[in-house]
Order: sequence, then C-alpha cells, then structure tokens
Amino acid sequence: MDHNMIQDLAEVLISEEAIAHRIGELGAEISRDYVGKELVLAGVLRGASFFLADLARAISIPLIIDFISISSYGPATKASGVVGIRKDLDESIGGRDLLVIEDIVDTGLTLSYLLKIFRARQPSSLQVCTFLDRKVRRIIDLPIAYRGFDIPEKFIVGYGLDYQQRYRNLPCIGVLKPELMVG
Amino acid sequence: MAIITLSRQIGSGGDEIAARLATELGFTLVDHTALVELLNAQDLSQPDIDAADEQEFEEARAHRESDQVYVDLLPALITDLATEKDLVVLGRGGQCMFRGFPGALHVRVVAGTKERARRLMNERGLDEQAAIRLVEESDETRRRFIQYHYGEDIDVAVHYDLVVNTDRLSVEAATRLIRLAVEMVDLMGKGRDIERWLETARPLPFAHPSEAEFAKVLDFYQIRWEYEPRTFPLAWDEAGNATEAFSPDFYLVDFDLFIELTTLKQRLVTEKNRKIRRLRELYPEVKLKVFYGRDYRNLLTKYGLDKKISSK
Repeated sequence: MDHNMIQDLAEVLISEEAIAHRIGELGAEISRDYVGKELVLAGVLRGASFFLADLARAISIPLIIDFISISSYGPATKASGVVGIRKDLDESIGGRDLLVIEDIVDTGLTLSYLLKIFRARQPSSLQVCTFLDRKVRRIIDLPIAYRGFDIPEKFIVGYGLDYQQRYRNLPCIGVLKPELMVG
Repeated sequence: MAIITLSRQIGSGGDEIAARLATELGFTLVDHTALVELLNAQDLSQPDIDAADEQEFEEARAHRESDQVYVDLLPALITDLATEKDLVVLGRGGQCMFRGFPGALHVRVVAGTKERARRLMNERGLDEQAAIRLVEESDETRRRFIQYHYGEDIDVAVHYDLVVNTDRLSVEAATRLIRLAVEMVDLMGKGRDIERWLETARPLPFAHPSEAEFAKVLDFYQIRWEYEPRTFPLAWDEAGNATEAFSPDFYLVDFDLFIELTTLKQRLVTEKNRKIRRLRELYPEVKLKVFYGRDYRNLLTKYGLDKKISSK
C-alpha cells in the first residue's frame, strides 16, 4: 500500500507553493546583489541540499555550487570533543564571494564555527542565506543576509530537515504527528 | 601535591587497590569514611552525606538544598586537602575534579560483570541473581552520579590515563602497574604545582549538570567561555557594600555575551527575573541572554540528549 508522507504530518507549516514563491524572491534578490561578482554557494549538508538546488535555479547569474559537511554535537560525537569537517568544500574560496546556504539557523553554534573557518580562507565577501530562521533558540547572534521564513519553536521536518534521517524529501515544511516520534 | 584518582566498578577490587596504593605510597585515602569526617566538620548530618554520596545517589534527591551543599562542598574540601597531602581519591568524580592537573594520575579499575558478581557472591554471601543485580545497580548509580555532577560518561576511557581490568590481573599486579605509572610520569614532581594550578587552571565545578552539558556543547563548537567570571552588584547598603548581586553562568569571550541558564521552578524564576531586570537597568551595556527551562530542554533535544532527535 502507498505511504504518503503528508499523512504523517500533524500540520503543514509552509506549503510547497509558499516555498517556491519565497525562493523565487530570494533568487531575484541575490541575483541583483551579486551582479558582476564571483558567487559561490556553499551548501551545508545534508539539510541544505534541497534548498540550494532550488535556490541556485532561481538565481539568474552564473555561480559555483559546493558543499560542506561538519559533525554535529550529539551522543555519537560528544566524546570526541570537538566539531570536525566531514566533507570540506572542493573549491577554493579565496577572493570569491561566498554565500553560505543553511537549511535552518537556530542556536547559531554551527554557523559561528562555519563562518570562522570560512573567514580564515579570505573570501572577498561572506554572507549567509538560510531557508529557515528559528530565532527563539539563538545563542549567538550572527548576521543573516537572506532568510526564507521565520519559524516557531516546533519540531519540524521536510524540505531537507529530517526526523531520524527520514522525511527530508517532503516537499513542504510540517510538524510530524507526535505518535510517530518514538521516545 | 600528587593525586591518584581511582574510579572503579563494584567488585573490581578498586577499593582494595586504592587502600594499598595509599599505604604503600604514604598517600591519604579519600574514601567515604574520610569524606564523612570532612563533612561532619561542616555540620552535615550522616544521612545527608550518605544520600548525596555516590553510593546512594538519587538524582531526584540531588535537587534538595542540603544535597546541593554537598555538591558545592565536596570538590572544595578535596582540593583543599590536596594542597596539604598526597591523595588517593576513590571515586566521587576525582578524575573530573583534577582533570588537566599534571600532578594527577587518573585510573579506572574495571572487570567483567560475571567475574565481579562471582567475587561479590564470595565476599557478601549473595546468590548469583542478587550479585548481578547489585553490580548492575551500582554501575548505574555511579554512572548517574558522574553524569549528574560533571556531565561526563564514566565509561569513556579517554578520561583516564590508565584503565586496569582485574579479570585476570590480581589486585597486587594492578597496584604495581599503577605504582609504576606514578614513577614513570614523575607524579610527585609534577604535584608540586598544585596551588598554582588551583588558582589558574582548575576546571570549576558546575552548580548544575545542565551547565556542565552546556559547557561541553560550547567546547564542541570551539566557542571560548568562562564560567561565572563576573558578579554584578545590584543593591547596596548605606555603607556602599553590595547587598545583592547576580553572576550570570557563562561568558562567551569572543561574542562579549553573558548566558544564564535557568531550570528553576516558576516561583524561583520570578525572583531571578527580577534580578535580571535590575541588571539590565543598571548595566545596559551588558549583553545577557537567558534560557529558561523549556528553551533549554529544546536545546538538549537538538543536541541529541533526548532521543527524539533530528540530526539536522
């Protein structure tokens, strides 16, 4: 029997149509701001993959896409002590205009680390574009040049965000039914 | 002075190894009996000491005020003692109290569950089922004690210089190994700097396990922090002496930002909020963020300390 993931949602917070519309706006804005510049989009894996793919196609100027993956704090990594790069950018960003693409910024801890390591590589400019911004959890305030949506304190999935690595491929942002989140 | 911290599993022979080391090296053994003496001098009752010590540790009770006194007192008493005497600190998170001190050797003594149960059956006349239950309960209690007070996993080997398995090594052999390590690292020589280390580099004991966990998250993301580095006076008496003050939990050095975590009940939060409002009035230039209970629980969820987690 078919399993439609949409049925697993208690509510849809941001529809597929709203996402497409907002990404169109962001794409136009970024296209204007980066005219004549050497734009590199650096997507933070895995969450930002869908957003980067759609955003890149909404930008009308030529650009380079790249990805980075870093370890995040949790039971599996906390014993090792410090954050590490699991996959670095393939491109050199020195002298280029780097736009970091995040799926979500909440505490700002991951982003502060990324900005620190990117800054050391001396790009011409360094800005952040996040699909979602959850300010209520912010520990470290960092400048965010482009944001898709502000979101409340809810556990959300879809459009790159997962629950136990699943639901990233939902085309919208939604709240999972509580009974599907096993303790 | 020199310090050997010895963390041990029940039935591993760690208690006997600690006693032998103390005798053979002329060190002072800091065990439950020694702590009772130290804490009695601080007006704590025997039941309070027993309840707050690792043997009978219960997380629910640790929130009681009297047990909080113990949490604050214990590391201070042991470190004070370490300025006067060479110590063997048995259990009680000694490896966390003296982490980073060059004059400390951190030892963990372990053995397999079956072997430990067998020893407990012989020593205490227990049947096999009761012995295994005792082993499991003790392991869990000690694990929670360290997790609660220091936010550490007692079983992670990287916290120790030497892990000794007494499944096949005798107590004598284990003691000799540890003594050999003491000589090889020149523990006595390095222990001379304890006062300077206590003044400059000692990791402070956190007042609450949530703070220890938060510090680890910051460390993970390489964010420099200081714990309660500054106290802001909020009210003064006629002579100009501060009568009320507030010390935010953390200062994030690179962001010039103070962080206060609060897991208190609503009644106490109201008092804290009043202080925070006052601080903001008196020190408008100070950047302070406050995380309340629910916000903090959400942070824990994010960082995988709750099982309902997204890996992001």
